[in-house]
Amino acid sequence: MRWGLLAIAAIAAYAVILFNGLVTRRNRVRNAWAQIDVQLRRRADLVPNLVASVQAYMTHERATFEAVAKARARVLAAGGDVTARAGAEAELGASLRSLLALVEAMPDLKASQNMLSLQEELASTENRIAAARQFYNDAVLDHNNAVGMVPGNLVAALFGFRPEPLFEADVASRALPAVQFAAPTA
Amino acid sequence: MTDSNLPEASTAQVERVSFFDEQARRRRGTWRLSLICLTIACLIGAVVSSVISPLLLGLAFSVLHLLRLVGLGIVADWPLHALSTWTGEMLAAVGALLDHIGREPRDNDVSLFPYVRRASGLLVPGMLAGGVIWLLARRMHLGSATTTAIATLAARAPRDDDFEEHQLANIVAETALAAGIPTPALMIIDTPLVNAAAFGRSHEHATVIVTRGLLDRLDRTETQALIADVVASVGAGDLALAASLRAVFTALGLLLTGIDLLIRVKAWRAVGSFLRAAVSGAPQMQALAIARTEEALDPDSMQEGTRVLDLAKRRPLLGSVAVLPFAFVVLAAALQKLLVFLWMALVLGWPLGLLWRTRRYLADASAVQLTRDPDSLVRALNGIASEQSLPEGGKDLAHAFVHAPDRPDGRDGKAYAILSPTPSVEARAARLAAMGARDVPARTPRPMAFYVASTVGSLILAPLLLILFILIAGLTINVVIFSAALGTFIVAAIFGIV
Repeated sequence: MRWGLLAIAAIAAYAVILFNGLVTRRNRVRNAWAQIDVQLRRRADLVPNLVASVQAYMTHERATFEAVAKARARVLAAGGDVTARAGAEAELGASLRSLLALVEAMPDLKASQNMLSLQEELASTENRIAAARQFYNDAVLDHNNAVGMVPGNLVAALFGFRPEPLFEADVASRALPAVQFAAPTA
Repeated sequence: MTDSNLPEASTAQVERVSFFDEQARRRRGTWRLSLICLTIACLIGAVVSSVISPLLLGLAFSVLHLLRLVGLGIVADWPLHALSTWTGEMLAAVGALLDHIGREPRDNDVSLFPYVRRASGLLVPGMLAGGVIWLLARRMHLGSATTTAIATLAARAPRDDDFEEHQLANIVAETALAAGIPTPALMIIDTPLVNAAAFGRSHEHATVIVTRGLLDRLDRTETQALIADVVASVGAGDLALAASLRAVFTALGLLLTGIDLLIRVKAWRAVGSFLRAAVSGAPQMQALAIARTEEALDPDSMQEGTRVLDLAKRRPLLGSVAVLPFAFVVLAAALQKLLVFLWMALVLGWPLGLLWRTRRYLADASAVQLTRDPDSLVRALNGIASEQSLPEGGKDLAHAFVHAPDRPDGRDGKAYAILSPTPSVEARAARLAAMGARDVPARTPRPMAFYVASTVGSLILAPLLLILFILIAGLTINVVIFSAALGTFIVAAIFGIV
């Protein structure tokens, strides 16, 4: 009788620990997603600035500017849906790269102070997005492992913990970027 | 075929490991070495306790008697009784131990142990006090680390209109994001040297300090690699570990200061500022308390202590009588300090240095995880090592820097290996090569004469070292037993305990 009670208490304690572990992991995933969100928004905010400083130099490249504007609108529309957001962000990234490739072809624009600092901001933001994505995906992997494996999956099923989607890197950004993002070296 | 092998031959040949395996290995090393360091620190604490315990007992008796004098007998009576009983027991135990040692013929190895165990209870108050002091000292180090570093290194905030410094701020933010810690504050030191360091209370309140020379001379990827190393170190909890390790010295310093109280005026000032800093928690006060407390670890403090005895020279007759009790204290303090110096230099120094080096290797492995770019880290480390690279005022903060060369010309040597808190760049590059860095030159093989000389040298040195350690151990045991016995007898005599 006493041993039975002890065993039940031990199992209950173990379940509590498992549950708390799951909550911690889910919060880490949410926090990581918030970080990605901040960085993606930072990139979206840089776009009008970039377009404004480039537009005067290349009035004939309307198609590129439109692609950038469209991608940015889609990003803002996607909101918190991870999968839709990942697709829209990939498109924005690709259109920004083609815009920067155009900049690369114009030496005096490329060397301007304004463009240099914009490029650095973009490069840094891309790095931050990559870092935040890596951190997010690590957190998701950890969370999904905990949710999917015995005995965590029993607790997870009981309390409605679901696997979270990964934030996939798009094919275009996996390939080497056409533009040299690195700012001039010292 | 030979042509294609040529570049391979000049590259370090090491077994390939993943950075996860390297991290796991270094974490295990951390545990092992921490345990060794903790044990040694406790042993040193036990040695000092042999004097501190009687001092504490004397203090406790004085306070309780004072309470009784002012009419608070109700409060003081019971503790006084309990303390007297306990001291009496300890006195008996120490007496029995001394009798046993003095008895002829001695058969120590069989029956000394139970006596030692009974008498060792006397060390408990001192060791408990040491533990509390260590916790306080650790808090002071945590609280004052950033302030001290910024002041001694003359660091300044980055300028936002400077492109390079703005880029650096970006890099710090990126790396912190990858490591999953809040972005540390950033400070710049205006010096052409290349180095970076981290200070702070925890990974949530960290400050990264970077030299201007690093910005001017390394490119973005190299800067990123070094920053990743610093941020990884912060993320792994090295700031708290550094405070814990440095607090060992501060705590020992305070215990030795306690012994100095009767013979050194500055000791009172040190204890006073330690107590004030423990209460107030202001960083400047904490830094001052640490500096003053560690004065007792300075060999100069011994000379100051012996100045009391000069009175005997000036007033030969009266002075000698007055100074006589102090002579014992001076002797006890000198013996204790000698022992603590010996232990710190010969016993604690090595595992402590190795422990910190293990953390550096761990930071390297984690930096590779963050950047996936071991090559840049190798290039950056080589950039640091190519010259004397600790900025002005950095000598006491060497442990916090990514790399601290220990020779003025910046190159590392085996002979100096144990003194530097960071591994040599060659050794780190070799580990980075194991994690995938290319173009790491193989370490130059040493000439045969070196191996012959070092073998002969160690054959001569080993027995000498063994004898030295046996001597130190013997000295330690004797000093511990006799200071504890003497101190307790004095306390018992003063307060009339039988």
